[in-house]
Amino acid sequence: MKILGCFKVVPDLDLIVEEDWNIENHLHIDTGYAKLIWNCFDEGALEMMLRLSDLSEGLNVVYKLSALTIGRQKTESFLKTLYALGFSEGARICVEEEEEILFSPEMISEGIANYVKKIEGQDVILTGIQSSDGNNKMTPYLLAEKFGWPCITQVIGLEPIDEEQLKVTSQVSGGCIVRKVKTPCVLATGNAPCSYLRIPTLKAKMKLGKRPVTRLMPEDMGMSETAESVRVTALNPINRKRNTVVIEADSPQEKARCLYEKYLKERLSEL
Amino acid sequence: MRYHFVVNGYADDVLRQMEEQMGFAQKYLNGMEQGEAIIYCRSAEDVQKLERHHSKEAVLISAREYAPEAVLHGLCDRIADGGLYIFGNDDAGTELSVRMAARLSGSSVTEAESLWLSEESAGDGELINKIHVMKMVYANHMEAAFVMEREPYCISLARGAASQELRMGSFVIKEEISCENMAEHIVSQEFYPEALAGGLDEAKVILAAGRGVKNKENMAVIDKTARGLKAEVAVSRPAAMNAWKPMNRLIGVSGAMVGPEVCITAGVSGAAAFYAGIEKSKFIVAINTDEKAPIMKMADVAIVDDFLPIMEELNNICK
Ligand SMILES: Cc1cc2nc3c(=O)[nH]c(=O)nc-3n(C[C@H](O)[C@H](O)[C@H](O)COP(=O)(O)OP(=O)(O)OC[C@H]3O[C@@H](n4cnc5c(N)ncnc54)[C@H](O)[C@@H]3O)c2cc1C
Repeated sequence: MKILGCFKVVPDLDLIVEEDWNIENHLHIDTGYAKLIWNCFDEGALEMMLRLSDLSEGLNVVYKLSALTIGRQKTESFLKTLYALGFSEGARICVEEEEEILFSPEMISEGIANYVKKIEGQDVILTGIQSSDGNNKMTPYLLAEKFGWPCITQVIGLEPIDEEQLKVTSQVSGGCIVRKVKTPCVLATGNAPCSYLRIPTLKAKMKLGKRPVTRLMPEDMGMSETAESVRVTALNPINRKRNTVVIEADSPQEKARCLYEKYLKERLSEL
Repeated sequence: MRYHFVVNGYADDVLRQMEEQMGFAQKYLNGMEQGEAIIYCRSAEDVQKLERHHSKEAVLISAREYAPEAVLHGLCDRIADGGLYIFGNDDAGTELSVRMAARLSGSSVTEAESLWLSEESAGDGELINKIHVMKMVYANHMEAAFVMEREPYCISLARGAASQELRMGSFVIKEEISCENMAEHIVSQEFYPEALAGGLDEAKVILAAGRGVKNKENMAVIDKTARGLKAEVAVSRPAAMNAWKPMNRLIGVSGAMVGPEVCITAGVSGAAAFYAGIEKSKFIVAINTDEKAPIMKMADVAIVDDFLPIMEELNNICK
């Protein structure tokens, strides 16, 4: 079974300094200095793929894992990590400007769809439910529509069955649903617990991590002709500050007592 | 232009979703004509049982089990004109709004906070209405305005919006479209309910732990203090990801959005995606070793210190 994990490499937004959120008259934020990380939901998706592959050992099913990202040159080191972890294919659609892929889910899904149609056919496409910067929450659903495939959202677990079927666990209100699903399908990964991506060994990095990444151009993937049906027109900062009082005292115990006496006791007794 | 509510009749919180749809319409769609609601549900009986409505008439799309593909089939078959379609604030609402727009060559925005219309000239002197929507981006650090270019306009609502009381009485059901057996890709499925979330939604006092709590053993100290304070325990994403607590204790844009009287955070930095979940708290206390952590300006009271001795002392006091 061929499974494609689509991921975005994003700036760690927790590291963006306050001033940078307070800009006006811009349609994107300069995040160039922030450390790059896996988009959290996509990271969960990639780790789930590896676990699925682990679970298939001894079973009569083989998973071919591929990964695709759309982004800058710098993202290739992430693809090499995936090679070292056992992915057999890694491709990047080369878009060097962050803002071009920020609010462009239609273009992104067109790029992914054309990769699957023209370069590497797939049985399953995995994505995260959204990226941390654009927050569009659209790409997996648009992919499902482009292929006419069914989609399952908020996926938190995958288990092998056979070459045509997967066991998919997804989170829903009040619990989770475990389904046996026929492929092809699109799966959108949600909050999967314990799904930080594993770290490759140095040996695996040396042996597998050096393979070149397949580079594709956006114009060859139909991305240049795609016009978004929704356009960003403004970006506004948000002020969430309160007039914070900092409790000063010599020891943590004293601070706790002050917190309780002055601020909590009455409030809690009123409840 | 007309607007339509699209309602998830399978959802446990369907009434709340409808109240928020009503609240949204009242605030932003004043003067716009309302069309029938479209309700995807198990059966007409379920809809009657609500005994509330927010549109006079409704068209039902029914199937025993929810499957987006079945709903989309019924939905897209039925829609002849353009207009504005307002979906609820859950995952189903988001998915369906995006896929419906894609199928009908319209446009969609998910998790909309607000909406307004503008008039623009179409070039030939004629004026056309444009729909603009505001939503959170950059993991809730900023708010962005978008203009939607093509009808039908499909939006899903952001969670935690203002709600408006529903009208008493049932919908007049105009038509029921049965979409049974249209999810051929599902071979079998089983629902596993999880242990009760403990009512984070209704909690009056919440003690929220973050990555700074460091491990499961320290979580036990948090649990103990919470019992003393009669608080519900909640966690940030990293704490939930490390399985220090189950996912249903997660607070933030991808978890619960709470509004207790008192919310105490320990070892939480106050990332925007977390803070959005506690923003509605009446009183926020932050305990963090780093005085520069964002939470230290977004709380009412802050303590710069290790959470552990603070928790232990609070626990002693409550004894
Ligand atoms: C699309 C998207 C959705 C998201 N949704 C959510 C969500 O719903 N909920 C959520 O929580 N996050 C969410 N996140 C993640 C969010 O951006 C943050 O990464 C996360 O909230 C950080 O959690 P934290 O504060 O526990 O950890 P950190 O940011 O690592 O903060 C830990 C804090 O603990 C302090 N600390 C360390 N040791 C101690 C000590 N001994 N005593 C006291 N303080 C100490 C540190 O100073 C630090 O400030 C989302 C992210 C994205 C991109």
